[in-house]
Amino acid sequence: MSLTIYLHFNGNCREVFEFYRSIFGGEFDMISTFREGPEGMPLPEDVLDQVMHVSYPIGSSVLMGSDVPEQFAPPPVQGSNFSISYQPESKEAADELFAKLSDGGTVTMPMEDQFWGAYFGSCIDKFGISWQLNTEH
Amino acid sequence: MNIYLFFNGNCREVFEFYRSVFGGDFAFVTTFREGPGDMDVTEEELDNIMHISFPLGSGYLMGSDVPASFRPPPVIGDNFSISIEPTSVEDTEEQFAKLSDGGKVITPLEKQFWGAYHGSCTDKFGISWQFNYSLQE
Repeated sequence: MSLTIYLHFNGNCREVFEFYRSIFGGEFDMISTFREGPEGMPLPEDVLDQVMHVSYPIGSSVLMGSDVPEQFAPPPVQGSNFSISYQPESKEAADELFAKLSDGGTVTMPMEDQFWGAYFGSCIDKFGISWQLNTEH
Repeated sequence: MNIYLFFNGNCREVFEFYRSVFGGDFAFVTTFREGPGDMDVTEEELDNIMHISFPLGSGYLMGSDVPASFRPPPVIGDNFSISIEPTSVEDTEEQFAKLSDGGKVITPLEKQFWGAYHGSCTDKFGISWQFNYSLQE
């Protein structure tokens, strides 16, 4: 059974995932728009090029996402009750990823050695998604 | 890459609920009482969860409570969901029924155009889930 984080956006899903790709590298497994979906979706022309589904491998996991047209559901509400936890392979990798991810966003805890034996930091990226980087010593 | 959930003091209850749905055991669970002595945590918060890790399929569902002195209480958002791919239709139906019990079914389990048996729900603690069982061979 696979377990994946699925992020929901108000129309800027592609921009957000391009930002993540600029940081973590690699390619999307799949990206499709509502225009490529089944005929008859009740969507106006200006929504058709929004992301219906994107799947992006990062490390051994996959990050998924989509936009949520208002015809389907109320706009996604940003909370503060989750973050994406990622384990960089080295302190250097952690520092580099952390600098890029927090650029334009907010550092909530700078990268530091923590009592649980890890080099750890947390931030909220410029799109409001919260991240934790945790590199075990 | 793992999903980290934040709670206002009911983290243990939530994870016990998830364990009752998916089975298995926690890989790790620790309270603030077991943390460093100088943490700014009140007596009532000492038995709250400092960190919990629950193996779920290919990943880990992680979480903690957030003491009042650390930052404002987590606000529940709906801009993310936890997406799982069960290994059978029976598991999909059983787990979906248990998870949505007391919560809300957003889209019922149905065959979808992308070739999967799919449903989404919000559990009674406000966390959103998607079940996607691939029907393709």
